Amino acid sequence: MDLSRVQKEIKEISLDKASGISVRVMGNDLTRLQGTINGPKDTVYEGGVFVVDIEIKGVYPFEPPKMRFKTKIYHPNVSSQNGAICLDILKDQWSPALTIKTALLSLQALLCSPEPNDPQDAVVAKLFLGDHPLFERTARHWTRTYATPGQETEGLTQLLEMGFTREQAQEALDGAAGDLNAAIAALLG
Amino acid sequence: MPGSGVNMTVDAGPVPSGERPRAFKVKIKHWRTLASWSWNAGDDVCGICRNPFDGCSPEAKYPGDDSPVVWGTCRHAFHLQCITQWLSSQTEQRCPICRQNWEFKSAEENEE
Repeated sequence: MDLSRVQKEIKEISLDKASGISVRVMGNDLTRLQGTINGPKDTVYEGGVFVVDIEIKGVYPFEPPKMRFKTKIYHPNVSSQNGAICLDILKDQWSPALTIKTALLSLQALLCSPEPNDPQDAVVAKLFLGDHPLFERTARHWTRTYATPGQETEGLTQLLEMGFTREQAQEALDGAAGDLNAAIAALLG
Repeated sequence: MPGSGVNMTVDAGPVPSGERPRAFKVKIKHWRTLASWSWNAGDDVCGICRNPFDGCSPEAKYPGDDSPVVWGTCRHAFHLQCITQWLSSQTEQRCPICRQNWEFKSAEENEE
């Protein structure tokens, strides 16, 4: 495995402070990395920091790095269940001239321009096309809830104060796309 | 002579006594030449392994003949080992950089 290339890539990413992405090494070898992507401005992901698990296999760079969102994200091309990503360059359109950095930048671009006609999550894609305002509300709610470090949403704080468990409150809020009244109605219903 | 690549040992010979030395006589006893070369690839590093062209691919031990640089007709250059490994893993033979069909450029074409 070509570790020197991975090493150079990590260094290059760490020197670039402007692109809104970062990467760090998990564990002792360079096969497990964790990347972060700042949610792009003027999107429903703005303000969020999204963690991406990266696995570098032995054949890298002749095969793409395996990437998956660790942070829950509401996006037509990302599984809302397990974070699996549908992006051509991470599959059959990979080229060894691409890098971990260009792949993360492509993910960032994917957050700006979802491709609902080539979905990874059919339910999210259906909402994106069928009820876009509700899609946007839900995606913003997920960004605030799962991708904003150290910050509880107001709704969650209130529900916790009302005596619901964190799990109950989160589930109800998710089901109501972040709408507190609807979440309370669901919890009391 | 630093930087010149020529290494000489000189002997200024004996100056005859009583005479004013008129010319500085130099006798070259021994000399060595050094030459260096580099790949003129229009880029410093291979787009696949990111190692310098003047270094070698991860598969090779030594630069030069052991790790030659090759060009495609699209004018992109890679270490021979790197591009070969990529093409052998693919059904479609495309340049990793521009995705055009990959064909090796012959040495004669490269002269132009």
